[in-house]
Amino acid sequence: MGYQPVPITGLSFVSSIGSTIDDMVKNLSTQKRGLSFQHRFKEFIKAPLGEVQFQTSGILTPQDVIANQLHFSITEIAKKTKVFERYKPEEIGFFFGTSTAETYSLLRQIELMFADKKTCLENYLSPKNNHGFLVETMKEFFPIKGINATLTTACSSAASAIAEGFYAINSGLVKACFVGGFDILNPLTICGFNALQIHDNQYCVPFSIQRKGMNLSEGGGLFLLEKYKAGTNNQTHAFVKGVGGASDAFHMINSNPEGFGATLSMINALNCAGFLPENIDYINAHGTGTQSNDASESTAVAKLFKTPTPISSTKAFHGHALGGSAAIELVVCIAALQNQKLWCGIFEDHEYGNTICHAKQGLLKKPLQNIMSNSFGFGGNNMSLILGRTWK
Amino acid sequence: MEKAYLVYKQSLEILPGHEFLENNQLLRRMTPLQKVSVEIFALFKKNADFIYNNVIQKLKTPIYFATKYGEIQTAMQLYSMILNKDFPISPIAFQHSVHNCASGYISILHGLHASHLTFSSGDSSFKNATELAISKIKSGTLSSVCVISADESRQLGEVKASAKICVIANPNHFEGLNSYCLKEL
Repeated sequence: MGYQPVPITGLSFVSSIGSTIDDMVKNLSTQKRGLSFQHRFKEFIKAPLGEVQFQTSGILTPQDVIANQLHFSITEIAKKTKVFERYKPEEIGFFFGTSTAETYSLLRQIELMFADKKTCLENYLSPKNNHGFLVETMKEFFPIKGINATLTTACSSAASAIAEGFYAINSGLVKACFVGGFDILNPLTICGFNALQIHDNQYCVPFSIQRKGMNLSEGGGLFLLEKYKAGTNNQTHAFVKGVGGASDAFHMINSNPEGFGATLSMINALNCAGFLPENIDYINAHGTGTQSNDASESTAVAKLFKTPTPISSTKAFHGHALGGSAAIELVVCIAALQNQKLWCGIFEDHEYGNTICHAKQGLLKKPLQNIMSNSFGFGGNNMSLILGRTWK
Repeated sequence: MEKAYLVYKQSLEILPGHEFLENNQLLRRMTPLQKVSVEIFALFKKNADFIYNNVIQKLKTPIYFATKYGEIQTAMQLYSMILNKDFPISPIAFQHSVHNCASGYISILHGLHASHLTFSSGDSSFKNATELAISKIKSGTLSSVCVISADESRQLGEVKASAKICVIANPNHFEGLNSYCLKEL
């Protein structure tokens, strides 16, 4: 099946480096991090985290915070795009990615169960205790009746959702589709990554010789994808031109050192877009800053991209927002295409400098037309997305 | 419009003491949810080698894994450690707490490099995964999907895990698959 580029006609996001493209560009251009040692999880971790200001009102549980954020994002996008006026409810789909949205509510039920000295958690679970609660709630608020699902593929969750939206539009299942993902920090995730010893206790520096791990963050974004119609006046932020997924089939948390799954997901995305590697002008890497990821991703990129293609990880600025990360990085890519700028971490001592081409802050060798964004998750869930400035 | 057929289905329930088809080191560390998922896939491979070899392997069939609540027993174990300030919490348990761990293990054990998606929408999880699989096959986006649904529950102090597997395919894309078609979807 041949695929057509899919326009992104609406977006709404929240990240530790801003919730508007202007703020994000300003922070990236001045290399201002959204990470801080002052955060609400000081009792669990000393490392910096990237906290965000979600769109909320009143005192809410973290799951309600994401529900509020989703409601805000859909409302904001709908206001600008008039999506609900232009399409019937069954023509509008929704794919949402998350890895931690329901964690807090689950932990709360576990606490209640422990307080009752019981062991059967199922008796304490309600419809709220699953990730899909958010999509179901949004379907009650908005006229969205097309194909929909909640996907949870760890750190590539939002990328998986964006990919499914791309397929749904291309195959004619829906004419418009909300896609994206959000995650919110919680004690389980923070203590878990601490146990794996992959936090950097200082600011993370992906692809630097000095790198020691990642900085966790939260946030994400929601996008409206629509079927392309030539000559329409709707604003298009960028075009999703290709998507590709692959499984590492190697280890639950470590990446294949040969970068097999990463290479495969990038090849699949290129094939989907009908591109060769030389059609890609910049790679926004998954680049967590861990030894395992950066070595594997560098190897994969070096294998596939024979001509020097600038690569950087903007997680140095916004941190790793887990399931919401791909959505934030898609906004970074949109900002890069719109502003014709590249951003990279604050360091000079690049590792793998003789095999991959590290992007230089603000410097472009040729105009940015097409960008690849990688997202890799636990369980070997690898996703690559290709974003273009123009439809052709 | 292409056609989508159910070509294989099976259900399985396991309790502690279950004898597994393929015993290996990874299995010993797995949660009940992961074990039942791995076991039902191994049973499918054993019972339907034609479909496994020609559909799953040759055509790089994606796995859609559906779970209502995911790894709730593991989440319980980890949160108990956090409440008791038993730090660091178990790194193995943490890596086993993500919803897509079971499908990750299936891909690792069988060397499957096709992408695997995990759906978690409570009671709608399996329905969502199956509906998307059928839609993608009918629209020609995919030729086949392997849908696995699994969940675990604690009853009378024992953790019981149950799973079901459905392989959905377009028989026009595989020679010889027509005779395996159970139902048009």
